[in-house]
Amino acid sequence: MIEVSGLRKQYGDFTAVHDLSFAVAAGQVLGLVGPNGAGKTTTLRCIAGIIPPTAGHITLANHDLLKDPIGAKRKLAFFPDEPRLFDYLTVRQHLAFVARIYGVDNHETIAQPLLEEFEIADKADQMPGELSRGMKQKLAIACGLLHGPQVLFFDEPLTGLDPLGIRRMKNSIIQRARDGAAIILSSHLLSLLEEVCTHVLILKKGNKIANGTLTEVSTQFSNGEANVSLEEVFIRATGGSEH
Amino acid sequence: MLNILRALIYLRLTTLQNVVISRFKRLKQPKYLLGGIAGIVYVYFMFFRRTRFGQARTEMDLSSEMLTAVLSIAALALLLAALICWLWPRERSALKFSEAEIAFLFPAPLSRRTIINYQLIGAQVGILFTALIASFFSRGWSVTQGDAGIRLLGWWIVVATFSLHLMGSSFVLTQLLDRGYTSLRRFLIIASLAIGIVVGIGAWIWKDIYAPSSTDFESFSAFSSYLVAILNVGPLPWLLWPLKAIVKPLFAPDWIAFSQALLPAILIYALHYAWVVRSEVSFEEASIAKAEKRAARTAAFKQGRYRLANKKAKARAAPFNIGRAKRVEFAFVWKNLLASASYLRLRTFLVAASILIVGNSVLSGNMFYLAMRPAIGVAMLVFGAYLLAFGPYVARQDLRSDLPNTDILKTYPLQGWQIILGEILTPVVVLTAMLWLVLLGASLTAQSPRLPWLTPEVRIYGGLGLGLIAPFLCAIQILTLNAAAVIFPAWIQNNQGPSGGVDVMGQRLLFMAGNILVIGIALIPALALGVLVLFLSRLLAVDAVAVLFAMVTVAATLGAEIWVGVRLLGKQFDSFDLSAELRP
Repeated sequence: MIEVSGLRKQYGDFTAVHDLSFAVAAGQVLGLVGPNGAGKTTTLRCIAGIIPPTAGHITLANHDLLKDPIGAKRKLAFFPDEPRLFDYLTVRQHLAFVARIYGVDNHETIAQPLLEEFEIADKADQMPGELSRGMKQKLAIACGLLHGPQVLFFDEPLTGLDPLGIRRMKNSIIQRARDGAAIILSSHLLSLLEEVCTHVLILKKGNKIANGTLTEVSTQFSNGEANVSLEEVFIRATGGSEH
Repeated sequence: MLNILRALIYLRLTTLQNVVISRFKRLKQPKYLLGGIAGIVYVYFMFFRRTRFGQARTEMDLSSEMLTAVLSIAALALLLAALICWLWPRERSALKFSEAEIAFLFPAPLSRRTIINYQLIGAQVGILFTALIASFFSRGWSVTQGDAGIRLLGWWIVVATFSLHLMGSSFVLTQLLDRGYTSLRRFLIIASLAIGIVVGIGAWIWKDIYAPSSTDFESFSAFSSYLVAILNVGPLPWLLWPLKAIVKPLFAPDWIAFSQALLPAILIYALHYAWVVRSEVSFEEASIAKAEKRAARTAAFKQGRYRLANKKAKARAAPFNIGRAKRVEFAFVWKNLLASASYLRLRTFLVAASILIVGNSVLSGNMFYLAMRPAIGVAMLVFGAYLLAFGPYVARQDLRSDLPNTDILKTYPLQGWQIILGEILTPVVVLTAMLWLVLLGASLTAQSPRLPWLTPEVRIYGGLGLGLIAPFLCAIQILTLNAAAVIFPAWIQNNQGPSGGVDVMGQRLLFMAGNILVIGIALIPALALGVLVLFLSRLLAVDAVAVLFAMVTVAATLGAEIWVGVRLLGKQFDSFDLSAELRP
């Protein structure tokens, strides 16, 4: 579903991502982890079509992102760490706007269950300025899911959510994967990755350190020890520092 | 206590020093260096050059009577300002602190007086800047005869004392609020007190004052004699003394007079200071709320959300049914119209057009209206020209406002040019509608027997022609401004919000000059073709029709340029990375 090969992103002399290759199949959830400045967000932004990569190939749901960006974007949804909403549109108007952009007919029939799933149905006529940080996050996610994307990218999805919201978000991600979506989520919360992800990709300074199932990556860095936590794996893999 | 004050002064001075250093450091970046040069050149020509080569100050030998009159007038002005700040409905008193200052200072073991002192020390930079600006502008006044130093210090005393008075009055008003007095009750109490004092004094001096005669208005000297005579009656000299004491140093002709006037002024300042620091008013909560509000406003400004920075967004009815929008670009019009003022709707346009047409026909028999009609027509055309020139800078419901949402816009399954076209359409539609109204009004009113060449045909064809090119003229400007936002986003971001510095001011000037240049270049081929068509069609048709042909040509050329511009800008939008552009 998601195939990335030879991805490289440069800013002048600085290389943010070095020849990165990986794949995520339908139903899989890939956790993108790494210390600050590892290139996680840059990678996500490149494969979501927000910024052009310097080199490499990206295929999303059988659409080449560089050759057929429109086709690829119809299949994806990107959720930034900070919900980006339009200040002058109500919750309902956000959904109407996104539905028109993605050409979703009769969007009300899809939007209402989404609003209820994320518990913002009673806020449908409110402006973003009247919503809490968590509510805004939920609205951004409802907008992203409206067109039924097959590929989902989450950048720090739990930021600003209360405990109940966190649980619902985890369940929602798992449910989307069960429904056949390929998901990549970037987070510093290793416990989230342990609960939700089937695979993990560890980045450091733009380089791939490890990639595989949680068990495979744990084995790679366990040094023969049993029951090594993901946190310990992460520290061993990244050398315990950003440098 | 002294150690604490020293630490707080250190904080203030270090902050100021670091602000200055960071401003100098950022001059390494070409965008700031160019802006800095442009800003310095502008400041030099606006202020310093005028001082050296511009108008010389009118030297006037002020008699002591005239000086007294000037002092009295200044004191009265100050009294009026003070009265307004007492009567003006205000919220709870709040001192101006940053969020960091609140986080560090409020929980710290500092007395209330220390915090107020800290705030007062910090306010001096702003007060000094205000005094500097005021002394610049008052350098040509004949009544401020002292040198630049006297003017600067004189203004500083006035502004500093007045700001203390403002703070003290806000403390008193807060005390009244704490005792359950509503804003209206406070207003009524203070207004009654003020009226009572005026009536009381009036009754006291009634027999000794007289109305001015026509000779009192013959010269400034005559008027000042009258004023001095009136203001010297009864208790008035004593009542105005504190106010005169504040302004007297400003009008001192030399340093000796200044030093003589300084002591009473300092006494008044000291009394104000004692009043402020002894006021037992809670300002902490209101200060926190004010700091939060200011931080939110600054954040909104930095993201280009000017309107949100000022007030809360309200839910509005959709301008049209988005589901029926045939082209996806209209979804952006729908979205951006929701972000525009609620009266900017088709209904308003139709009502205004109807009022213009019906009003003109109803009033066409009125002699006064007929006499005023040409002037109204000219005024409308002038307004239209201003609208065309400055409207695109004000109507920002396009990519300039949506720049913070670029990441989301770029994930939409749309070509870059579709997003650009959709984004620029709203300001084009709004400005065009307004220009059409102005042209309609001008076509109806711009007629006079003294202008026989303004025949109905010329007005109709001229109006239609201008109406035809109006949307294209708006579109080319808005496209240029949006292109600047995509090509130089860092400049746009820097130009937003209350960021200071000569370099940022210079950036704004360069930015405007660049826009005008690009628009000028875009207009050249359109105007050249228009003139050619006008020349050729005049051989075949009457003048009015020839003008219309020329306008169609101009519109078509501009339309082609806009189309090419939208496609090119769309490609640029597809490939641009806002985060990279904004890297320091």
